Amino acid sequence: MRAIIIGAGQVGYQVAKYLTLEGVEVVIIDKDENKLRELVEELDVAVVHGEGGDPQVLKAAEADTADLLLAVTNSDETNMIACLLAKAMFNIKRRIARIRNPDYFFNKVLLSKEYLDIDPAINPELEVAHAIVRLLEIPFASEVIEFERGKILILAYKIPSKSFLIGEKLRDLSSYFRNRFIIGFIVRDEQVIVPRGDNHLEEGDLIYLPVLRDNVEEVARILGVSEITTKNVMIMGGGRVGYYVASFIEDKMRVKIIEKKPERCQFLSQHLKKSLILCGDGTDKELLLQENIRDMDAFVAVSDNEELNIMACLLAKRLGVRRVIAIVNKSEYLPLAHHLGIESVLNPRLLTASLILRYIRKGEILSLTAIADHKAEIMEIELNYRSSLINKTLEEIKFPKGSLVGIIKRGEEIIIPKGKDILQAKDRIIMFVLSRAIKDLEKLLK
Amino acid sequence: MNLLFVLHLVSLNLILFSFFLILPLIVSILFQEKPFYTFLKVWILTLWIGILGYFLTKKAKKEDIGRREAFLVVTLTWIVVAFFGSLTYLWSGVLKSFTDAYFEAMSGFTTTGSSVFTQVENLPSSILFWRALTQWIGGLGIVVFVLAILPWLGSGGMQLFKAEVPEITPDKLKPRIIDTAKLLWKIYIGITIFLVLAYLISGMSLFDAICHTFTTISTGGFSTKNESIGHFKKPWLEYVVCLGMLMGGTNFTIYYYIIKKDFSKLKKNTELRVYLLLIISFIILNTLFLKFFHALNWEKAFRVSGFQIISIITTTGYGTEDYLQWPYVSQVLLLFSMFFGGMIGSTAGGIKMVRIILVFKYLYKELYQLLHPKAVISIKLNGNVVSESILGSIWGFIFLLNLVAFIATLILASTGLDPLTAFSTVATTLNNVGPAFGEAGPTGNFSFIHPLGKWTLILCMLIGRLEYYTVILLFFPAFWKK
Repeated sequence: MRAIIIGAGQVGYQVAKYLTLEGVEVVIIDKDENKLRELVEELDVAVVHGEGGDPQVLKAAEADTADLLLAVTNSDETNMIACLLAKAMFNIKRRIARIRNPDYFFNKVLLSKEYLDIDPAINPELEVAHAIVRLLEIPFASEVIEFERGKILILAYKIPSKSFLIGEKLRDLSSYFRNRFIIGFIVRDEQVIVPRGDNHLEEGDLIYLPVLRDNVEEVARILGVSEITTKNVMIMGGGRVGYYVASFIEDKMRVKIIEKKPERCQFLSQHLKKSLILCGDGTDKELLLQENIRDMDAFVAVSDNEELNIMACLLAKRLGVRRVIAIVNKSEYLPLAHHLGIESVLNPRLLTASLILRYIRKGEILSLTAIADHKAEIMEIELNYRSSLINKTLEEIKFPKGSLVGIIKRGEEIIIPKGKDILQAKDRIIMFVLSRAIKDLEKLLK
Repeated sequence: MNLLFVLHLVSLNLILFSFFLILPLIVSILFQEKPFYTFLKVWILTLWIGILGYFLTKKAKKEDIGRREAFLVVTLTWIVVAFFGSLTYLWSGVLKSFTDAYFEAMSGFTTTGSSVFTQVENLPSSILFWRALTQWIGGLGIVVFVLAILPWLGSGGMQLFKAEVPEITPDKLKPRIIDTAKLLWKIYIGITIFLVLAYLISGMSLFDAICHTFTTISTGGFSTKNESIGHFKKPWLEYVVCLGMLMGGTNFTIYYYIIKKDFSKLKKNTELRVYLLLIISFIILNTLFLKFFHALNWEKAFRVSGFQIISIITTTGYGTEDYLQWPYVSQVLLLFSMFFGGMIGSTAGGIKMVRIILVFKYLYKELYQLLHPKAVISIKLNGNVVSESILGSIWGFIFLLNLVAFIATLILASTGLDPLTAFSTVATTLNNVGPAFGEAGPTGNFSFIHPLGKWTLILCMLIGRLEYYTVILLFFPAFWKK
């Protein structure tokens, strides 16, 4: 397979890094020559210097032999033109683009099959907003990943200091989990573990649980979580993300938005129905206290300034908010923010990259999501009639070390897997796999 | 610096390299020669030391190969491979001293072609074959061979590739390094087969055709005959060899364009045009010198000029004539032609055409800006703008060349060589050409040089083959600092 990526920013970089590991031929186009020179030092890719929307440049990148075009420059217009050229001139089958401007993104005609035919168009702000909403709806999770159009969720749950789960062997816990879920990954000190029966849990471990959306409340009770719903939310930053989040949740929760710029506040007050819009500074302690920050269930910092987001979250946490969510663009800051006690830190670019990777499907793997800086992956696999896995019990199948089946979906039925379960054709399974086990797993799938 | 990992990779390279030793082994069986046991011993030793090294360093952290590691891996690989290559000469008894054996091996792998043998025709065929094979392996590069086989090096592979095959612009034939390396080897083997057939048709024996193809296409210059190509006394063959040498000095990207039938890129390629034009004009110049100062007839003057100019500019080093008998003006032309080299991305040594073109363009720009201080001129190559940092690295390259040449010539002269011999032996080894001037001319050899001089020249060959920066960096204190 051959992929062309336009735009060597963080999204392009992440996707390219992943694709090259998969053995895909990658050509990256960017207009910044220095960036390209740095890129070839780090990645095994070819680079072409030039504008992504220039047919000559695409030709130089041998676009006519490509199977996939990914347009992720900062300019929506360039991305759209590149996709149009890819379709009209080079006949590239699959075109994925980042489109930010809502006027383009929500325009059904423009992106439809007859015209630009971008599949899918990805709006990072909208995706971040969705992710934030999921976190607000499931307040005890520090990460929520959707599968099967939201029917199955993977929840990341951080073990608090006084949890009764600490120290117990997983084998002994399984009955306690009442066959509602199993643990897919344990992330401890930035290392990912695929658990076995004799593993135990420690304070601060991040565990990944595949659960049914309908079971979320029961799972919360099993884990001993008390706060199950979010009622009061304060959002700092009324930009696109803040606006999207507010518009999604204002019917269910009480929302206060703090935004600095008066003009933007005007816009928000015109377009939001129930939210309270406050014109001011999110790090102004007086303002926060005045607006009852102590009563907030969640504080969401989504301004353009990532340092400010982190500081505001720390302040909110000090003032007594239990749940804080921040968006941070610099991936270097992510572990820092975690250390400072902000459990949910979203990186729009990494999110976009992992979303794009979900769509680049390969054979039986329907979608996959990387976690913990690509140390491990969660993948959704559909078993066909020729698969070597079917008509065997899970115990019989020799899964590679560092992989496990988290959940099985058979038609509409959801099965929490046990050793005696038999896989059938057309089953969809969600697997938890360490990066180093992926090659072996792919061999098994063949 | 992850030294353990460096040694791990070098061991791996050694294991893969050791399999090349099977080829002369087969030749020695076919000719039923004594060196059979030598090759067997060397092969087993190389393989086992490689495997031993591999397992002893298995605990190394296998992280990405950084720039430092890459430079060290490549340089060490060449040094170690030349060491094991030299054992064949030593243990088969054709050379008595280790210095001579190492000189011959390094001269082979770096495709230099300078020799310490006074006579080659009485050497066993398998040794002659091995001598030619070392040049064929070194022509494209030992590490490029490894890269074509190992898929897991990833972007670290690019660092290794760049340390062995320096490029001016970050161009790869294929997006992935393994595909690029494979393609290079396919092209290389393709040209090799073509040239073997051409030599056979032109009247060489199969053995001579294979050995000479190995040393032509790699622009190496070892021959199985004492008088080199001059031995065959066939004008037609000489023209065919000229073609072969030209092909060896051509950028392999050009062949890729030809395979893809992308002729517009060929036409646009400045370097190819300059390469051919420069060679043609030098041939014409030298033909005139030989015709009027040396009283040769037109055909012979043209033929021997063509052969010698191509042989020197592509840094092959074959001979048909003793050019020391030529007029001085011809000799000076040849001496300085050594520095030009072929195209970048070819098997040739020397400065390489593209650097010379860019330096000239830079000079033009400087002169022009003296007249028009406000003029904005960007330097372009094949239609693309070349950045200042690349130009800076080219100036650095040329300065390093001068510096190394100066120091090495001093050392050679201190061993008692006359200035011309000292300078020309350094020039011929730095540029991986082969024959020199003075006592080490085309009819002479390098055996009389003092061991200190020989080791200096060995270092020159390596520095030149890896294009200065890779080896010089190891002498740079900051390289070893954390």
